[in-house]
Amino acid sequence: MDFRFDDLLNATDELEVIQLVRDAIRPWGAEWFVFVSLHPMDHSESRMTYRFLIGCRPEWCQLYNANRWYMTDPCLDYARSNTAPVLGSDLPIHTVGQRRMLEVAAENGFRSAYIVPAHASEKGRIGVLYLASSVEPEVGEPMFREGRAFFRALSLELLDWSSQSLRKEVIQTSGLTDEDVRVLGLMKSGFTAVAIADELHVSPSTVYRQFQRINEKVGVSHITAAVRFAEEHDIFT
Amino acid sequence: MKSLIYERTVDVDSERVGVKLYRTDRGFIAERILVQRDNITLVQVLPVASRDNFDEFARADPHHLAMVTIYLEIRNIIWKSCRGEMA
Repeated sequence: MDFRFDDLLNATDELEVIQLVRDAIRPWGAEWFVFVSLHPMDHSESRMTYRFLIGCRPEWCQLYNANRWYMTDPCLDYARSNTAPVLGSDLPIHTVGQRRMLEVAAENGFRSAYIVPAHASEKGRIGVLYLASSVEPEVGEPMFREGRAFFRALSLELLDWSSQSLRKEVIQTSGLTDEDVRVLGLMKSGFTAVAIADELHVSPSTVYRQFQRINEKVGVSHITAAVRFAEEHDIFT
Repeated sequence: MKSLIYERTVDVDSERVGVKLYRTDRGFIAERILVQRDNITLVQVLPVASRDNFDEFARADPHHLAMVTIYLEIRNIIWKSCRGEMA
């Protein structure tokens, strides 16, 4: 089946995305994939959300999480400070623990690997597409390298899709309206409540009441915290 | 479009772990969410492609004992709704 990026952009849920990616990577010999997106909160590493889209043996992801390998994973380490894809056999390994993780990964189908980073914005949101097959690296990895340009585009699109999907989910769950988002956007641009009232042709007390409703929706006590919440969830994009 | 049809969490050793189940046009998606005591959150998004696939995921869960009921409830929802359609 021919892969079209439009199909990915229009995918409505992760089930559809996973199937599209599986079909897309197969011609390059990739049997498995995992797409990890990292979403920092408060612009801080200490309140990070790691989101794993699983296109591999599910037990591998459980093992990875149980061992907290996301703390030491050399692939994530590499992706944090690099944009170019790297073959598994070229990946810098610094510790015995990292080597052990890769050995277990190989036992779980990640013998040949290709790590494709994607960087989205200044807010530290990154994605990593892990591609893998159970054949020897000498056989599998040259095939991955041939798809380098395609995989880079795919990784970026997956990160965009993931961000948009979370944005929709947050808006839906919180109940924020278009008007709420507009007010938050004006706050972010430096408007005061009085200036927002002028802009929207309403009274300042109406704006303050809207601030209160927005705060309740996102579970914070001050409108500046609501703006930060909106930034962290890419609500303005 | 996906819709949330099940959500349950349990507290285990000052961590919170749970699963959300979504129904989509094509099947089900399970999201296992672990909020650790250090505030790091891990979300695993699993397409529920087959019974074996889901059971392997459940069995490999390091919090399996605390999650047994949750996995059983999800299993019942899925297999009841699409009995005969999945392997």
